[in-house]
Amino acid sequence: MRRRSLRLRLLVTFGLGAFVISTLFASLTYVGVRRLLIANQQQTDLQQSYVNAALVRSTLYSSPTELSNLLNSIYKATASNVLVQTHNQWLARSNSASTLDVKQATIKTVGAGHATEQTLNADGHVIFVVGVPIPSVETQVFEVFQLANLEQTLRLLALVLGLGALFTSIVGMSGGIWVTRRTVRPLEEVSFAAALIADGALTTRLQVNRADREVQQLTESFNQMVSQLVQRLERDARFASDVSHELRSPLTTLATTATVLQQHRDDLTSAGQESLDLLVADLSIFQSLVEDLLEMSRSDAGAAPLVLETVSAIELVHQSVRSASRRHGIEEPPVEIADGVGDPLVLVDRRRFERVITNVIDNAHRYAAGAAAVRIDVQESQLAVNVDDAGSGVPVDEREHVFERFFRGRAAHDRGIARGTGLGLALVRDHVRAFGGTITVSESPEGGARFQILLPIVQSEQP
Amino acid sequence: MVPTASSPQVIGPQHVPFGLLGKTIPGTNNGRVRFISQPVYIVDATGHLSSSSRIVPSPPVLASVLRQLIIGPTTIESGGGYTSALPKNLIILSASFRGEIGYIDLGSTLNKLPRGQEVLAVGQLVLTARDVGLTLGIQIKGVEITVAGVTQDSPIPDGREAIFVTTQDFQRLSNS
Repeated sequence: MRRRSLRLRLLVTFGLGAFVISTLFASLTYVGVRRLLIANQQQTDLQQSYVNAALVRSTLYSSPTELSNLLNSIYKATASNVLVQTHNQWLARSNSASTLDVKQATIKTVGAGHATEQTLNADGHVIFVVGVPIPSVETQVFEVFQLANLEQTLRLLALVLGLGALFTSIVGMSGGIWVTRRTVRPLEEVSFAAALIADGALTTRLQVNRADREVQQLTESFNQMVSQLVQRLERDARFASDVSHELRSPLTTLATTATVLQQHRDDLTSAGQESLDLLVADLSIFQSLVEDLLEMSRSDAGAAPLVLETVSAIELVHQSVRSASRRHGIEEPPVEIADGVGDPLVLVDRRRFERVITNVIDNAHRYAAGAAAVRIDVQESQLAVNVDDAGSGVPVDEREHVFERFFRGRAAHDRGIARGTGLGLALVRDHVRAFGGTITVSESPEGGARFQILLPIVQSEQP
Repeated sequence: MVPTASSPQVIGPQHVPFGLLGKTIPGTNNGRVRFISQPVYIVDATGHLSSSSRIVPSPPVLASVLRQLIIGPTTIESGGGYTSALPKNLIILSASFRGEIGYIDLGSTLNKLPRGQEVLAVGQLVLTARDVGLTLGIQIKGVEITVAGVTQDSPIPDGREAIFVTTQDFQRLSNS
C-alpha cells in the first residue's frame, strides 16, 4: 500500500477543512441574508402599496380627476408604478407603467376581491406586483415594484461572501502550511538524526526546542534514548574487548603449545596427529575470531586510533594485495588499472585499508574459488577498487546482508564451510565508512561477485 | 437571485389594513362608488377639438363633467399644447338632458370671447355633452345654451348663429 506524505495529508486536511467551513458559512450566510432581505423588501413594498391604495381610494372619493397626478406623484416618490382598474378596464396608471406587467391571473384574482402578491420575471427584470381590490370605489389597484436594487445587493453579497470564502480558504491553507511545517519538522529532524545514527554517527543529537513542550519532550526523549543506546553499545564493546583481550593470552599459550606439539608430531599416534591437526585448525579460527572481535569492539568504542594519511591509491592497493596473499598463503590476484586513472591519492588509515583488501580477498578465497582480479578505476571523482572473484556471485537478496555481523550466506552453507568468523566483511564496511567511502557487492563481468570499494579522491596531500 | 412565483399568492384579508377591502369608505356611510373614465373635449395645438378623459363618479353628472372643461387641461396635457377655450371664471349654473336635447345654463355669456374661441368653447360643451349622453345611454341631437336662464344664440363653425346647435355642426372641429 502506497503511503502518503503526512505533510501533504495535513495540508490537504487544513485546506479542505477551511474551504468546506468557509463555503458552508458563506452559503448559510447568503441564504439567510437573502431570505431576510427579500422578506424585508417585500414587506416594505406591501405596506407601501396598502398606503398608496388608500391614497387612491381617498383621491377617487374626493377629487377623482386628480388620480393621474397622484399616480405620477407616487412614481416620482417611490419609483413604483401604480395602475388602477375598474370593471376590467384600466382607469388610470403612472406614465411609465406598463399594463403588461400585471398578469391576467393577478387581475382575475384581485377582481375576485383578494389582495395578491407575486414576484415574477418581466423581460429579464424581476418585479414584485401587489394587487389590492378596493370594493368601496369598485377599483383594483396594482403596484409594480422593480427589484433591480435588491438583485444588485444580492449579487454584491454573493461576490463578497465568495471572495471571503476564497480568502478564508487561502488563510486556512496558509495556516495549514505553517502548522504542518511546525509539526512535521521535528519528525523530519528525528528521522534525519536517526538515519545519521544508523550510519554510525553516534554523536548525533537533536537540538532541544524549548518553544513547544511536546517537541521538547520528543527531542529530550530521543537524545536520552540515543545516549542510552550509545552507552549500551560502548558497554558491549568494552565487554567484547575485555573478553577478547582476556582470551588472547591463553590462546597465545595454546597456540605456542600447539606449535611445540606440532614439532613433535611424528612422535604421536595417527589418532593423536589427527587430533592435533584439528586442534591447530580450530585454534587458528579462534585466534582470528578473537582478533576480529577485538578490533571491532575497539572500533565500536572508538578506542582504535584512526590514523588517516594521504597515500597513492595504486601503490597501496598493490601493497595490500601482496600482503593479503602472503598472509593467507594464496596466489596473488592480478591488479588491473583502467586507462586514464593516473595516480590518484586517497585519505585512509593504511593499516585498516590493508585489512579491508585482505578481508575481501580472504572472503573470495574462502567462498568463491579466490579473487580473479583486483581492478582499479575512477568513477565520478571517486576511486573504485573492484575485487572480482571467480565464484558464482552473491544472490541479490543477500547482497546487503553480507556486510552484517555474523551473517552467513547460502554459499557458506552450500560449500559446507564453517571456518569463517562472520565478522570479516562487517569490519570491512566499518573501515571503509571510516574513510568516508562505501562498499557494495554486485556482479562482476565474469559472472562472479564484485566487491566495489568507492573512496573519495583527494586533490593534494592532507594531514 | 430573487426567487419568482408562477402564480399570484393571495394575501389574507386580515393582513390588508386601512379597511381597503371594506364595502364602504371608512368614516363615511357612502355605499360603493363607481368611477368611470369620461371623454371630454379640449383644444389641441392645431386648434381642433380633441378627446381626452377624466375620471368621474359613475353615472356621470353632466354639470360636473362640464366643469372639468373649465378647470382645463392637466399639466401633462398643457405640456402637449392642449388648452381649453372656456374662460376660467365661467360658471355652469346647471346642465341636464331632457329628451334628446342637452340644456346648459351658464352664469355669463360667451359673446365677449373672440369669435374663434367662442366657437371652440361652444364646441367643447356640445361634444362633451354628447359623450356624457352616450355614457348615460342617451343619444342627443343637440344642445341649447342659456345664460342665467335666458335663451341666446350660439355661434356655429359655418358662421351662422343658432339657439339650438347640433353635434353635427361641431363634428368638423373634432380631429377624431
